[in-house]
Amino acid sequence: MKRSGIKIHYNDNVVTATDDIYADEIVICNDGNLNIIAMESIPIYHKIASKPIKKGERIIKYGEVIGIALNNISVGSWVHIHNLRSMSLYKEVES
Amino acid sequence: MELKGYRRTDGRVGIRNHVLILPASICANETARFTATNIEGSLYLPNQGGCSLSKRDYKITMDTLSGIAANPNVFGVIIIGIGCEVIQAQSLAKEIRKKTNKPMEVFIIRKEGGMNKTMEKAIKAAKSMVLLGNSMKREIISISDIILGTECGGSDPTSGLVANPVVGIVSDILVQHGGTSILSETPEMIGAEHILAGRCKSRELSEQLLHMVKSYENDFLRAGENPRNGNPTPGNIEGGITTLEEKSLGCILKGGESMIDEVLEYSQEPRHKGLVVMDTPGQDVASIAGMAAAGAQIIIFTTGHGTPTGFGIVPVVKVTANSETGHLMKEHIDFDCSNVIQGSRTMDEAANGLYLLMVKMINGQTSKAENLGFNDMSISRYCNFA
Repeated sequence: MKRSGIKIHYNDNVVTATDDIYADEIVICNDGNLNIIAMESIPIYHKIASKPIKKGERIIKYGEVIGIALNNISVGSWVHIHNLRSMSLYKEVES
Repeated sequence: MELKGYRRTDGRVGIRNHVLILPASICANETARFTATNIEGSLYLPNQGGCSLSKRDYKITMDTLSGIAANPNVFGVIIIGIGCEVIQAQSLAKEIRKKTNKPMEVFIIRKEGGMNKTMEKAIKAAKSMVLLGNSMKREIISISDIILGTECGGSDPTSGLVANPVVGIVSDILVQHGGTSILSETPEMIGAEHILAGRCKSRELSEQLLHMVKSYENDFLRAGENPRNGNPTPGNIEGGITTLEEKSLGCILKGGESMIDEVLEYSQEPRHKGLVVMDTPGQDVASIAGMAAAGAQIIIFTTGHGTPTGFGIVPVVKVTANSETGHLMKEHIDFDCSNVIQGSRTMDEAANGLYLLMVKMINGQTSKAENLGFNDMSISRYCNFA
Protein backbone atom coordinates (compact mmCIF):
# COMPACT_ATOMS: atom_id res chain seq x y z
CA MET A 1 0.00 0.00 0.00
CA LYS A 2 1.12 3.54 -0.60
CA ARG A 3 1.41 5.92 2.34
CA SER A 4 2.50 9.51 2.60
CA GLY A 5 5.12 11.57 4.36
CA ILE A 6 6.19 15.19 4.55
CA LYS A 7 9.70 16.43 3.97
CA ILE A 8 9.71 19.87 5.59
CA HIS A 9 13.03 21.29 4.34
CA TYR A 10 15.06 20.31 1.28
CA ASN A 11 18.13 19.63 3.45
CA ASP A 12 16.32 17.19 5.75
CA ASN A 13 17.46 13.57 5.96
CA VAL A 14 14.22 12.48 7.61
CA VAL A 15 10.58 12.80 6.54
CA THR A 16 7.55 12.77 8.82
CA ALA A 17 4.90 10.08 8.33
CA THR A 18 1.40 11.45 7.85
CA ASP A 19 -0.16 7.98 8.05
CA ASP A 20 0.58 4.91 10.16
CA ILE A 21 3.06 3.04 7.98
CA TYR A 22 3.87 -0.69 7.89
CA ALA A 23 6.99 -2.49 6.65
CA ASP A 24 7.39 -2.68 2.86
CA GLU A 25 4.86 0.06 2.21
CA ILE A 26 5.88 2.81 -0.17
CA VAL A 27 5.99 6.28 1.40
CA ILE A 28 5.28 9.04 -1.11
CA CYS A 29 6.59 12.44 -0.06
CA ASN A 30 5.24 15.88 -0.63
CA ASP A 31 8.01 16.99 -2.98
CA GLY A 32 6.86 14.41 -5.53
CA ASN A 33 10.24 12.89 -6.40
CA LEU A 34 10.95 11.13 -3.16
CA ASN A 35 9.56 7.62 -2.60
CA ILE A 36 10.81 5.54 0.30
CA ILE A 37 10.16 1.88 1.08
CA ALA A 38 9.46 1.49 4.79
CA MET A 39 11.79 -0.99 6.51
CA GLU A 40 9.55 -1.31 9.56
CA SER A 41 6.35 0.02 11.12
CA ILE A 42 6.37 3.76 11.65
CA PRO A 43 3.59 5.48 13.64
CA ILE A 44 1.87 8.57 12.26
CA TYR A 45 3.89 11.84 12.78
CA HIS A 46 7.08 9.86 13.51
CA LYS A 47 10.24 10.18 11.42
CA ILE A 48 11.58 7.97 8.63
CA ALA A 49 15.15 8.21 7.31
CA SER A 50 15.09 9.49 3.75
CA LYS A 51 18.88 9.23 3.29
CA PRO A 52 21.39 6.73 4.71
CA ILE A 53 22.69 8.18 8.02
CA LYS A 54 25.92 6.97 9.63
CA LYS A 55 26.49 6.62 13.37
CA GLY A 56 27.54 10.02 14.77
CA GLU A 57 26.05 11.97 11.85
CA ARG A 58 23.62 14.80 12.27
CA ILE A 59 19.94 14.25 11.79
CA ILE A 60 18.31 17.16 10.01
CA LYS A 61 14.65 18.17 10.24
CA TYR A 62 13.27 21.66 9.50
CA GLY A 63 16.66 22.24 7.82
CA GLU A 64 18.31 22.23 11.27
CA VAL A 65 20.13 19.67 13.41
CA ILE A 66 17.72 17.91 15.78
CA GLY A 67 20.36 15.49 17.13
CA ILE A 68 22.93 12.82 16.38
CA ALA A 69 22.48 9.27 15.08
CA LEU A 70 23.38 6.64 17.71
CA ASN A 71 23.93 3.97 15.03
CA ASN A 72 23.85 3.52 11.29
CA ILE A 73 20.36 4.19 9.98
CA SER A 74 19.27 2.95 6.57
CA VAL A 75 16.70 4.62 4.32
CA GLY A 76 13.17 3.69 5.33
CA SER A 77 14.02 3.09 8.99
CA TRP A 78 12.15 4.57 11.91
CA VAL A 79 14.11 7.41 13.56
CA HIS A 80 13.25 7.98 17.21
CA ILE A 81 14.60 7.71 20.78
CA HIS A 82 16.32 4.36 20.05
CA ASN A 83 18.66 5.81 17.41
CA LEU A 84 18.58 9.61 17.81
CA ARG A 85 19.98 11.65 20.70
CA SER A 86 19.79 15.38 21.45
CA MET A 87 23.04 17.23 20.62
CA SER A 88 23.62 18.32 24.21
CA LEU A 89 22.97 14.84 25.65
CA TYR A 90 25.15 13.24 22.96
CA LYS A 91 28.00 15.59 23.90
CA GLU A 92 27.65 14.51 27.53
CA VAL A 93 27.88 10.84 26.50
CA GLU A 94 30.93 11.52 24.32
CA SER A 95 32.80 13.47 27.00
CA MET B 1 -4.23 43.98 -2.73
CA GLU B 2 -4.70 47.51 -1.42
CA LEU B 3 -4.42 47.86 2.35
CA LYS B 4 -6.56 50.28 4.33
CA GLY B 5 -6.28 51.28 7.95
CA TYR B 6 -6.67 54.13 10.39
CA ARG B 7 -3.89 56.69 10.53
CA ARG B 8 -3.37 57.89 14.10
CA THR B 9 -2.14 61.32 15.12
CA ASP B 10 0.91 59.68 16.73
CA GLY B 11 1.98 58.36 13.32
CA ARG B 12 0.97 54.77 13.87
CA VAL B 13 -1.52 52.80 11.80
CA GLY B 14 -4.43 50.81 13.22
CA ILE B 15 -6.59 48.15 11.58
CA ARG B 16 -9.41 48.39 14.12
CA ASN B 17 -10.93 51.46 15.77
CA HIS B 18 -11.79 50.57 19.36
CA VAL B 19 -12.66 52.81 22.27
CA LEU B 20 -11.05 51.05 25.21
CA ILE B 21 -12.38 51.12 28.78
CA LEU B 22 -9.27 50.33 30.78
CA PRO B 23 -9.40 49.53 34.51
CA ALA B 24 -6.14 50.50 36.26
CA SER B 25 -6.56 47.58 38.64
CA ILE B 26 -8.76 44.65 39.58
CA CYS B 27 -10.82 46.92 41.86
CA ALA B 28 -11.97 48.97 38.87
CA ASN B 29 -12.83 45.97 36.70
CA GLU B 30 -16.55 45.76 37.31
CA THR B 31 -17.16 49.49 36.95
CA ALA B 32 -15.21 49.42 33.68
CA ARG B 33 -17.11 46.35 32.49
CA PHE B 34 -20.53 47.86 33.24
CA THR B 35 -19.47 51.10 31.58
CA ALA B 36 -18.51 49.25 28.40
CA THR B 37 -21.74 47.23 28.27
CA ASN B 38 -23.61 50.56 28.19
CA ILE B 39 -21.81 51.86 25.10
CA GLU B 40 -21.87 50.14 21.76
CA GLY B 41 -18.52 50.39 20.06
CA SER B 42 -16.51 50.33 23.25
CA LEU B 43 -14.46 47.51 24.64
CA TYR B 44 -13.54 46.64 28.20
CA LEU B 45 -10.11 45.24 28.99
CA PRO B 46 -10.20 42.83 31.96
CA ASN B 47 -7.34 43.54 34.35
CA GLN B 48 -6.57 40.90 36.93
CA GLY B 49 -3.65 42.83 38.39
CA GLY B 50 -2.74 46.45 38.95
CA CYS B 51 -2.17 46.08 42.69
CA SER B 52 -0.01 44.19 45.22
CA LEU B 53 2.89 44.22 42.79
CA SER B 54 6.63 43.79 43.20
CA LYS B 55 8.76 46.50 41.57
CA ARG B 56 9.47 44.30 38.59
CA ASP B 57 5.81 43.35 38.21
CA TYR B 58 4.85 47.02 38.49
CA LYS B 59 7.02 47.78 35.46
CA ILE B 60 5.72 44.76 33.52
CA THR B 61 2.10 45.75 34.26
CA MET B 62 2.63 49.45 33.51
CA ASP B 63 4.42 48.70 30.21
CA THR B 64 1.69 46.29 29.19
CA LEU B 65 -1.37 48.37 30.11
CA SER B 66 0.09 51.57 28.62
CA GLY B 67 1.24 49.69 25.52
CA ILE B 68 -2.19 48.17 24.95
CA ALA B 69 -3.80 51.61 25.35
CA ALA B 70 -1.26 53.01 22.86
CA ASN B 71 -1.85 50.17 20.37
CA PRO B 72 -3.01 51.82 17.13
CA ASN B 73 -6.09 49.56 16.96
CA VAL B 74 -7.35 51.70 19.86
CA PHE B 75 -8.83 55.06 18.90
CA GLY B 76 -9.21 56.39 22.40
CA VAL B 77 -9.06 55.21 25.99
CA ILE B 78 -11.06 55.77 29.17
CA ILE B 79 -9.06 54.83 32.27
CA ILE B 80 -10.96 53.93 35.41
CA GLY B 81 -9.17 53.56 38.75
CA ILE B 82 -10.36 52.93 42.29
CA GLY B 83 -7.92 55.44 43.77
CA CYS B 84 -5.65 53.46 46.09
CA GLU B 85 -4.14 50.89 43.71
CA VAL B 86 -0.42 50.50 43.02
CA ILE B 87 -0.94 51.28 39.34
CA GLN B 88 -2.39 54.75 39.85
CA ALA B 89 -4.76 55.76 37.05
CA GLN B 90 -2.97 59.10 36.67
CA SER B 91 0.45 57.45 36.48
CA LEU B 92 -0.91 55.07 33.88
CA ALA B 93 -2.28 58.04 31.92
CA LYS B 94 1.15 59.69 32.08
CA GLU B 95 2.80 56.54 30.78
CA ILE B 96 0.29 56.35 27.92
CA ARG B 97 0.95 60.02 27.10
CA LYS B 98 4.65 59.22 26.65
CA LYS B 99 3.65 56.82 23.88
CA THR B 100 0.70 58.51 22.18
CA ASN B 101 -1.44 61.66 22.01
CA LYS B 102 -4.70 59.81 21.31
CA PRO B 103 -7.97 60.82 23.08
CA MET B 104 -7.89 59.84 26.77
CA GLU B 105 -9.98 60.47 29.91
CA VAL B 106 -9.41 59.37 33.51
CA PHE B 107 -12.04 58.67 36.23
CA ILE B 108 -11.41 57.65 39.83
CA ILE B 109 -14.25 55.71 41.47
CA ARG B 110 -13.48 56.82 45.04
CA LYS B 111 -13.31 60.46 43.97
CA GLU B 112 -16.56 60.32 41.98
CA GLY B 113 -18.40 58.58 44.83
CA GLY B 114 -18.90 54.98 43.69
CA MET B 115 -19.68 52.98 40.62
CA ASN B 116 -22.87 54.69 39.46
CA LYS B 117 -21.51 58.22 39.58
CA THR B 118 -18.31 57.11 37.87
CA MET B 119 -20.27 55.29 35.20
CA GLU B 120 -22.43 58.32 34.53
CA LYS B 121 -19.36 60.39 33.65
CA ALA B 122 -17.43 57.59 31.96
CA ILE B 123 -20.38 56.67 29.74
CA LYS B 124 -20.77 60.29 28.66
CA ALA B 125 -17.07 60.57 27.85
CA ALA B 126 -16.97 57.22 26.09
CA LYS B 127 -20.04 58.06 24.01
CA SER B 128 -18.48 61.20 22.61
CA MET B 129 -15.22 59.31 22.03
CA VAL B 130 -17.09 56.63 20.05
CA LEU B 131 -18.77 59.37 17.98
CA LEU B 132 -15.39 60.93 17.27
CA GLY B 133 -13.93 57.53 16.46
CA ASN B 134 -16.75 56.77 14.03
CA SER B 135 -15.76 59.83 12.00
CA MET B 136 -12.38 58.19 11.24
CA LYS B 137 -12.11 56.75 7.74
CA ARG B 138 -9.83 53.99 6.56
CA GLU B 139 -7.00 55.30 4.38
CA ILE B 140 -4.44 53.56 2.22
CA ILE B 141 -1.63 52.14 4.31
CA SER B 142 1.46 50.11 3.56
CA ILE B 143 2.23 46.52 4.56
CA SER B 144 5.37 47.95 6.18
CA ASP B 145 3.05 49.58 8.76
CA ILE B 146 1.98 46.15 9.96
CA ILE B 147 3.33 44.43 13.05
CA LEU B 148 2.28 40.78 13.16
CA GLY B 149 2.49 38.74 16.35
CA THR B 150 2.83 34.97 16.01
CA GLU B 151 1.71 32.55 18.67
CA CYS B 152 1.03 28.83 19.11
CA GLY B 153 -1.09 27.06 21.69
CA GLY B 154 -2.77 23.72 22.31
CA SER B 155 -0.11 22.28 20.02
CA ASP B 156 -0.17 18.76 18.61
CA PRO B 157 2.05 17.01 16.04
CA THR B 158 0.36 18.89 13.18
CA SER B 159 1.44 22.25 14.67
CA GLY B 160 5.19 21.76 14.21
CA LEU B 161 4.73 19.73 11.04
CA VAL B 162 2.56 22.10 9.01
CA ALA B 163 0.80 24.97 10.82
CA ASN B 164 3.95 26.62 12.23
CA PRO B 165 6.03 26.23 9.04
CA VAL B 166 3.12 27.77 7.07
CA VAL B 167 3.03 30.74 9.48
CA GLY B 168 6.83 30.97 9.11
CA ILE B 169 6.44 31.43 5.37
CA VAL B 170 3.80 34.14 5.96
CA SER B 171 6.20 35.84 8.40
CA ASP B 172 9.01 35.70 5.83
CA ILE B 173 6.76 37.22 3.12
CA LEU B 174 5.73 40.02 5.48
CA VAL B 175 9.36 40.74 6.43
CA GLN B 176 10.41 40.73 2.75
CA HIS B 177 7.71 43.34 2.10
CA GLY B 178 9.07 45.59 4.84
CA GLY B 179 6.71 44.63 7.64
CA THR B 180 7.46 43.42 11.16
CA SER B 181 6.87 39.99 12.63
CA ILE B 182 7.25 39.14 16.32
CA LEU B 183 8.37 35.68 17.39
CA SER B 184 7.42 35.10 21.04
CA GLU B 185 7.38 32.51 23.86
CA THR B 186 10.86 32.29 25.42
CA PRO B 187 10.37 28.90 27.16
CA GLU B 188 9.68 27.35 23.76
CA MET B 189 13.10 28.53 22.58
CA ILE B 190 14.97 26.52 25.21
CA GLY B 191 16.94 23.87 23.33
CA ALA B 192 16.90 25.74 20.02
CA GLU B 193 18.31 29.06 21.25
CA HIS B 194 21.64 28.39 19.50
CA ILE B 195 19.78 28.21 16.18
CA LEU B 196 18.01 31.53 16.83
CA ALA B 197 21.27 33.09 18.02
CA GLY B 198 22.81 32.05 14.70
CA ARG B 199 20.10 33.97 12.90
CA CYS B 200 20.71 37.27 14.72
CA LYS B 201 22.03 40.14 12.62
CA SER B 202 24.82 41.00 15.04
CA ARG B 203 26.88 39.29 17.68
CA GLU B 204 25.55 41.64 20.31
CA LEU B 205 22.00 40.64 19.41
CA SER B 206 22.91 36.93 19.60
CA GLU B 207 24.26 37.46 23.09
CA GLN B 208 21.14 39.37 24.07
CA LEU B 209 18.96 36.51 22.83
CA LEU B 210 20.99 33.83 24.62
CA HIS B 211 20.88 35.90 27.80
CA MET B 212 17.11 36.27 27.48
CA VAL B 213 16.62 32.49 27.23
CA LYS B 214 19.12 31.82 30.02
CA SER B 215 17.37 34.26 32.38
CA TYR B 216 14.06 32.59 31.72
CA GLU B 217 15.60 29.20 32.39
CA ASN B 218 17.19 30.50 35.62
CA ASP B 219 13.79 31.74 36.83
CA PHE B 220 12.49 28.20 36.38
CA LEU B 221 15.51 26.71 38.16
CA ARG B 222 14.94 29.06 41.11
CA ALA B 223 11.41 27.70 41.34
CA GLY B 224 12.84 24.17 41.45
CA GLU B 225 11.97 23.28 37.86
CA ASN B 226 14.38 22.29 35.12
CA PRO B 227 12.72 22.88 31.77
CA ARG B 228 15.35 20.71 30.07
CA ASN B 229 14.32 17.69 32.13
CA GLY B 230 11.07 16.10 31.15
CA ASN B 231 11.12 17.78 27.76
CA PRO B 232 10.09 16.53 25.30
CA THR B 233 7.25 15.18 27.44
CA PRO B 234 6.16 11.52 27.24
CA GLY B 235 3.19 12.76 25.20
CA ASN B 236 5.53 14.58 22.79
CA ILE B 237 7.64 11.41 22.43
CA GLU B 238 4.57 9.30 21.76
CA GLY B 239 3.59 11.86 19.13
CA GLY B 240 6.92 11.48 17.34
CA ILE B 241 9.07 14.24 18.86
CA THR B 242 12.46 12.79 19.88
CA THR B 243 14.64 15.66 21.12
CA LEU B 244 14.26 19.03 22.84
CA GLU B 245 15.75 20.87 19.86
CA GLU B 246 13.19 19.19 17.60
CA LYS B 247 10.34 20.29 19.87
CA SER B 248 11.60 23.86 20.15
CA LEU B 249 12.30 24.08 16.42
CA GLY B 250 8.67 23.17 15.78
CA CYS B 251 7.71 26.32 17.67
CA ILE B 252 10.32 28.82 16.48
CA LEU B 253 9.51 27.97 12.86
CA LYS B 254 6.74 30.56 13.15
CA GLY B 255 9.49 33.12 12.63
CA GLY B 256 10.41 31.57 9.28
CA GLU B 257 13.97 31.81 8.05
CA SER B 258 14.46 35.58 8.22
CA MET B 259 17.38 37.10 10.11
CA ILE B 260 16.54 38.55 13.52
CA ASP B 261 16.62 42.35 13.66
CA GLU B 262 15.92 42.98 17.33
CA VAL B 263 15.39 41.28 20.69
CA LEU B 264 12.67 42.90 22.78
CA GLU B 265 11.66 42.87 26.39
CA TYR B 266 8.07 41.90 27.19
CA SER B 267 5.68 44.63 25.93
CA GLN B 268 8.52 46.69 24.44
CA GLU B 269 7.79 48.46 21.17
CA PRO B 270 10.11 47.42 18.30
CA ARG B 271 12.41 50.13 16.95
CA HIS B 272 13.34 48.06 13.92
CA LYS B 273 11.23 46.49 11.22
CA GLY B 274 11.77 42.89 10.18
CA LEU B 275 11.79 39.79 12.35
CA VAL B 276 11.97 40.57 16.06
CA VAL B 277 12.01 38.24 19.05
CA MET B 278 10.10 39.12 22.22
CA ASP B 279 10.67 37.71 25.70
CA THR B 280 7.19 36.42 26.53
CA PRO B 281 5.91 33.55 28.69
CA GLY B 282 4.49 30.35 27.26
CA GLN B 283 1.01 31.28 28.43
CA ASP B 284 -0.70 32.22 25.18
CA VAL B 285 -2.82 35.15 26.33
CA ALA B 286 -0.01 36.80 28.31
CA SER B 287 2.25 36.38 25.30
CA ILE B 288 -0.35 37.99 23.02
CA ALA B 289 -0.81 40.84 25.54
CA GLY B 290 2.94 41.56 25.37
CA MET B 291 2.87 41.69 21.58
CA ALA B 292 -0.31 43.82 21.52
CA ALA B 293 1.38 46.20 23.97
CA ALA B 294 4.33 46.39 21.58
CA GLY B 295 1.92 47.61 18.89
CA ALA B 296 1.07 44.39 17.01
CA GLN B 297 -2.17 45.05 15.12
CA ILE B 298 -2.82 41.40 14.28
CA ILE B 299 -1.94 37.98 15.71
CA ILE B 300 -1.68 34.67 13.86
CA PHE B 301 -2.21 31.80 16.27
CA THR B 302 -1.64 28.15 15.39
CA THR B 303 -3.38 25.42 17.34
CA GLY B 304 -3.61 21.65 17.17
CA HIS B 305 -6.41 21.16 19.65
CA GLY B 306 -8.39 24.32 18.86
CA THR B 307 -7.48 26.94 21.49
CA PRO B 308 -10.31 29.50 21.32
CA THR B 309 -8.29 32.56 22.49
CA GLY B 310 -9.34 36.01 21.38
CA PHE B 311 -7.84 39.35 22.36
CA GLY B 312 -10.28 42.26 22.30
CA ILE B 313 -8.35 45.00 20.54
CA VAL B 314 -6.36 42.77 18.18
CA PRO B 315 -7.78 40.23 15.72
CA VAL B 316 -6.41 36.76 16.47
CA VAL B 317 -6.36 34.60 13.33
CA LYS B 318 -6.67 30.96 14.34
CA VAL B 319 -4.85 28.39 12.17
CA THR B 320 -4.92 24.61 12.42
CA ALA B 321 -3.45 21.75 10.40
CA ASN B 322 -5.47 19.15 12.31
CA SER B 323 -8.47 18.25 10.11
CA GLU B 324 -10.49 16.97 13.07
CA THR B 325 -9.93 20.24 14.93
CA GLY B 326 -10.76 22.20 11.80
CA HIS B 327 -14.07 20.37 11.68
CA LEU B 328 -14.96 20.12 15.39
CA MET B 329 -13.79 23.64 16.26
CA LYS B 330 -15.01 25.32 13.07
CA GLU B 331 -16.62 28.01 15.18
CA HIS B 332 -13.13 29.09 16.33
CA ILE B 333 -10.82 28.26 13.42
CA ASP B 334 -10.19 30.86 10.71
CA PHE B 335 -7.82 28.88 8.52
CA ASP B 336 -7.59 25.11 8.11
CA CYS B 337 -4.45 23.93 6.32
CA SER B 338 -4.87 20.21 7.08
CA ASN B 339 -4.99 19.59 3.33
CA VAL B 340 -1.19 20.08 3.33
CA ILE B 341 -0.97 16.95 5.48
CA GLN B 342 -3.40 15.14 3.20
CA GLY B 343 -1.16 16.13 0.29
CA SER B 344 -3.65 18.13 -1.78
CA ARG B 345 -1.98 21.50 -1.13
CA THR B 346 1.66 22.55 -0.71
CA MET B 347 2.98 24.57 2.24
CA ASP B 348 3.59 27.54 -0.07
CA GLU B 349 0.04 27.43 -1.39
CA ALA B 350 -1.31 27.29 2.15
CA ALA B 351 0.97 30.18 3.18
CA ASN B 352 -0.25 32.30 0.26
CA GLY B 353 -3.82 31.58 1.30
CA LEU B 354 -3.09 32.56 4.89
CA TYR B 355 -1.28 35.73 3.81
CA LEU B 356 -4.32 36.72 1.75
CA LEU B 357 -6.60 36.07 4.73
CA MET B 358 -4.32 38.24 6.89
CA VAL B 359 -4.59 41.05 4.34
CA LYS B 360 -8.40 40.75 4.32
CA MET B 361 -8.43 40.92 8.12
CA ILE B 362 -6.15 43.95 8.07
CA ASN B 363 -8.75 45.53 5.79
CA GLY B 364 -11.54 44.88 8.28
CA GLN B 365 -12.77 41.30 7.84
CA THR B 366 -13.39 40.05 11.36
CA SER B 367 -11.84 36.92 12.88
CA LYS B 368 -13.89 34.13 14.45
CA ALA B 369 -12.75 35.23 17.93
CA GLU B 370 -13.87 38.81 17.19
CA ASN B 371 -17.25 37.57 15.96
CA LEU B 372 -17.69 35.63 19.18
CA GLY B 373 -16.64 38.66 21.22
CA PHE B 374 -13.74 36.82 22.87
CA ASN B 375 -11.81 39.20 25.06
CA ASP B 376 -9.10 37.30 26.94
CA MET B 377 -6.50 39.16 28.98
CA SER B 378 -3.48 38.13 30.99
CA ILE B 379 -0.25 39.90 31.95
CA SER B 380 3.07 38.17 32.47
CA ARG B 381 4.26 37.99 36.09
CA TYR B 382 7.58 37.65 37.79
CA CYS B 383 6.73 37.35 41.48
CA ASN B 384 3.64 36.33 43.43
CA PHE B 385 1.25 39.06 44.60
CA ALA B 386 2.67 41.13 47.44
